[in-house]
Amino acid sequence: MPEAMPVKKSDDGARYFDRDLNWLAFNERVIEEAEDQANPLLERVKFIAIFASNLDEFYMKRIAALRRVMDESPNKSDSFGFFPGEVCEATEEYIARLRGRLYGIYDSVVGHELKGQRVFLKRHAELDDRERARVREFFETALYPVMTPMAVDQGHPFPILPSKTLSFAVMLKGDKKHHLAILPIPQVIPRLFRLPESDGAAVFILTDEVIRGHLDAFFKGHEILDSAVFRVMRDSELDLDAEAVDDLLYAVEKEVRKRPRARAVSLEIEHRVSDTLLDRLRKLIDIGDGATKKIRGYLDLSFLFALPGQVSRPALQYPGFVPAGMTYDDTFRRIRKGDFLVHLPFQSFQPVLDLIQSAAEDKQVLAIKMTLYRTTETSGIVRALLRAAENGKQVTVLVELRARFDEERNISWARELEQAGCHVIYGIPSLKIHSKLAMVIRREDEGIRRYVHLGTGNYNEATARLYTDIGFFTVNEEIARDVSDTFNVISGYSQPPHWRKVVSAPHDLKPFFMHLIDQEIENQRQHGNGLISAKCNALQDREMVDKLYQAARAGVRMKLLIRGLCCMVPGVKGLSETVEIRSIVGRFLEHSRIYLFHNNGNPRIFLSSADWMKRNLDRRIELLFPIENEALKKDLSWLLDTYWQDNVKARVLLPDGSYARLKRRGEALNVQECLIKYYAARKR
Amino acid sequence: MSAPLRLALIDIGSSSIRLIIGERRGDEIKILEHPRNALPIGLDTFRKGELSQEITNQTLIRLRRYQEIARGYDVTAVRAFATTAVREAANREMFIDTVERKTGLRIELLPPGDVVYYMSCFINLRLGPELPIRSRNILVAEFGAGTAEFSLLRQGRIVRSTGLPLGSQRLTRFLGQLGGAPTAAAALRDYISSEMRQLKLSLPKIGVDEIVLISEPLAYGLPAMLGPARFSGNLCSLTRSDARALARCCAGRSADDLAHEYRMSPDMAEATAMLSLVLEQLFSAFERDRVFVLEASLLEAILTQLLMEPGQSGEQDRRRQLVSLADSILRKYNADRVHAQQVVRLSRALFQGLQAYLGLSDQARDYLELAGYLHDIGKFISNSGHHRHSEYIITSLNLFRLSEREQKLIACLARHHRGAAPSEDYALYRSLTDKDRILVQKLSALLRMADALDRSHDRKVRELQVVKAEDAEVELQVSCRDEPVLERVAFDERKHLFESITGSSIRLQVTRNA
Repeated sequence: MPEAMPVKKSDDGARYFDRDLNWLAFNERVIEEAEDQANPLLERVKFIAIFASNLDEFYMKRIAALRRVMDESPNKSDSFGFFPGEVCEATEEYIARLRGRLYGIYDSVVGHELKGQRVFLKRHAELDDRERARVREFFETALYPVMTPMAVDQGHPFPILPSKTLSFAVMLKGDKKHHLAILPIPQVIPRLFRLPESDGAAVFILTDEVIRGHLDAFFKGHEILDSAVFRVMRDSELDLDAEAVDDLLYAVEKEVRKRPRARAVSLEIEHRVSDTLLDRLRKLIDIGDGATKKIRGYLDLSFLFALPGQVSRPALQYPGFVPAGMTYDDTFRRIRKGDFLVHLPFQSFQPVLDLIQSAAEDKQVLAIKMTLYRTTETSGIVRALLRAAENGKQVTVLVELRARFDEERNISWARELEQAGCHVIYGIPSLKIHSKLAMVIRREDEGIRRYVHLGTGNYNEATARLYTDIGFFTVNEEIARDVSDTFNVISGYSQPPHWRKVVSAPHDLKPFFMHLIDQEIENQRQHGNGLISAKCNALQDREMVDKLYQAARAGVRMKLLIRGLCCMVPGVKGLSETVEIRSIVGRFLEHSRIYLFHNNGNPRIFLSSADWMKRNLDRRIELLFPIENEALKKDLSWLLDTYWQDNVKARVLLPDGSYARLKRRGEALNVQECLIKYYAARKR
Repeated sequence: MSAPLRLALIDIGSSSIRLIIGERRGDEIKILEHPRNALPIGLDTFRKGELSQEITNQTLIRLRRYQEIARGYDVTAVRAFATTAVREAANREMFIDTVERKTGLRIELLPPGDVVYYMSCFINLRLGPELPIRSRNILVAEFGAGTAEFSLLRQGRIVRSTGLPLGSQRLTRFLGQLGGAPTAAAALRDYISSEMRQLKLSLPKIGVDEIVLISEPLAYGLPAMLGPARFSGNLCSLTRSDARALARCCAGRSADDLAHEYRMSPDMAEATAMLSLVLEQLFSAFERDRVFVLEASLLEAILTQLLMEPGQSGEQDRRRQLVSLADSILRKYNADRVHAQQVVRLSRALFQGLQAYLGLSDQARDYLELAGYLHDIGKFISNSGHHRHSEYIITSLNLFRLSEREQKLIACLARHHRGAAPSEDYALYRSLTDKDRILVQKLSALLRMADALDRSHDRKVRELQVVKAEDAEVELQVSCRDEPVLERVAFDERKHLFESITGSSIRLQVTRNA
């Protein structure tokens, strides 16, 4: 954490952490996982990559947003009282410290520990003759033909470099003055190049290092005075006019095309760069000194994501596990038999695929409706939807094009779905569709039956192996009506109706949470047993935080598992003594959202796609849905208890903004490992 | 097992368009979809008298979307209904034609009485125990954007139906015309109060047991503004103090403010605010302690009726309701009810015997019978030329559940029950289609003979039978208690129309029956 996590106080004594600094604290917990010797070595490598990738996103989203606010209204504070200038300054300091720590752990893990396991990442100068020959061949056949140096002078403007693109800046000696050339490294070429194995050692070199070794090949007849690898991070916000957008697909496509020219918010460059080259570059990119980072080591450590997959060392990774499956002959019959939950990644994503795939082929199925936010290019779900359209089903897909950084991918498969005859709807310009719902309409002997799946996470087979999420299957009529209504509202076919079971943002969700909290306050007053237990990814909405403080002041106990950023300050006398906030960062990304209200002994439990963030509650279409089946309520209640018992990966948020590991009493309990075993043993 | 009947119904209302898709499951109706889109269709009609191209285009967009939703449910039929906003638009025929050409949907125009009819059926089917409509006198008020239709039901039968200009959009417009005058709110209250007084005066003095309000904005606005626990099932029991509280919530607030605070759409908020004023006046005018607000849409009511009572029962009920209303009108105009009933009885017998001979549909019988009830109503003005007075009274009545066309047919029949035969010399007759003119010719011929056979207003004819109906000759046999001297003369005078349109001679055989 920073030297001291800044806290803002309101007139009534409430306190708040800043969202960005607290998010960085979350990323610090990721780096702690990289440092944790108890984690397998190659998993620690992955945590380094996760940290690096997270930080990139933070620059493109949050730092960019702060800069925008600073330009437009520097003297306007956010809803908690933080001014953009002070936050920017504090975040940059914090990031600098975290970056130092990152490269420290990188040196330790990659520079020493991996070498101990005979895994080497070499510089060009460190290669032996045989390796050099292989690298030269790779350069000549794979790199040189696809790379083009670009001169920068009066007749040649600075090239358009998309965010994160690694490039060489090369200063060449000319007759009278020096020339600058930019050599972008194509993003399609994997950065990690594996050299032939010798004596069981795995040897790698980065493409940028290969290019460095052959840089003169691009500039024959010129003397290279200086060179450095750099990359630019740009603002990723799409400038969509909420009122004027008639064709959202076209608008998003247009804005995405503009992105490589978006404002630069950060320049990272190798520390060896000369002042002359750096000054020139800064001017051309139009970026200030404060936003320039000289990096001691490789830029963009997210290349490490690929390393474990290329090294066959199972002992250095988490023990493999097969997600627990369910046995059933007929998906529809299984869902009719009774509501059930699927807890990813401990349980298989297969029931979701089965539902959509069965629906695509089943003669009695009339229609399939679903939302897609982020999905994979080779998604079984997208293939099943295409098949369903071929089979004459009515397929309606609500595609949220604006899933950050996935926009282009989304446009591509959305077009494919459209061409196959699916009815693709791109949602509402001013609201992102974040709810995850699917509905299959089937004609049965008794009449129409609607099979519904509601989830806390995206329909994405890849993240289903990495993120913890919960899916709910049901044929409940009232929920089906609500889901139908949600589709109609999102697609502009209806105005928001009365909800029966589900509650949706942006209209009703926040007031509903307020109502539930008020009820706990009342229960506390009358029975002394007010309790809120929640698990989500972020707590940042000011009204929610204040309401929770109100409950805490009334004595309501709170057990909050907030994985990421949290603006609430727990454990403050007279304000939040009854509040305990923990964060679990481990093997899987905690992503499920569960909300439990004690309700005087008859708990009300909900799952949701929404966090307690302003954007979720005010600017997105989100759903909260109740779990009313007693057995499932019991399961979720047990799940929250088990999460709360974690004493290995859980950190507790302290009033000063730091996170501390729990003091372990009794046996160690790592909740994610525990759940792998639990679901494997549980028969379904 | 046969597939359940599944219907998609669309309602083109004054302020919104809605779809309902439902199917019957045993004794339950399962609603599958019920989307709604605000569209101020009524604004065009109430301000300019006709529907604009923009509104037509917007309607088409929504109808196509609803058809798209309906396709996903493999429905048996998609039917579209329209009420005041379309019914009162001068260019309604063009609107209906455009919609049919572009979507394939033929819009069915619902007369005001049908709305009340469907709602009362819904109350009876779904809310029988809470609101025993068949054993009480109930005033049902259906608030649209243009008008509020008040119908008094005596033990389930309509006895009076009247439309008042108290629709939410009309009230909003009225308020707008008053501008920002400080007395605007008071003026609006006076206006509503005056309409309420007129309403009360127009109702038969049979005592009102309960008042039921049908209004979507109220059904939405009440729980939002007064708390969610108001509704028990489909009914909300509202007290006088609730009405005051509602009016306080709305007083001096803009629709946008209300919409924001109570999370309603602005059109709903505006309508709720207007209706809160009507509610207050309604409580005062009828000195009630409570009124019921029904949370059910017209579409839900029609769907319930079509799915729960498919086939003829709806038609029979309509006939019963129309007869009840006609009888109530006879009372109001101090008409000779005994003669009217006798003419109806004789008309029915003639119709029965000559329906096939004249090629008449079943529905034609309803027109003939209603004309039989109302043919002499013009005597209220003057005996001389009373058939002319009957014509304009009937065209001006709020006749429950009859379309404008049907009302014109009946007025035309009454016009020509005596005097000159229907011809193009008469404006109302000219306004009919060729097909309807032929119908009027045939039915007038029957009505003239039926009226003639009770010329003395003394119910001399006990029985009437068509004993022969051949190409060249038709023979009627009547049994009478006394010699029907006047009736014979009148019959000879009035039979000519029948003979001229059929080319047959008609003969009357009288038997005496003590």
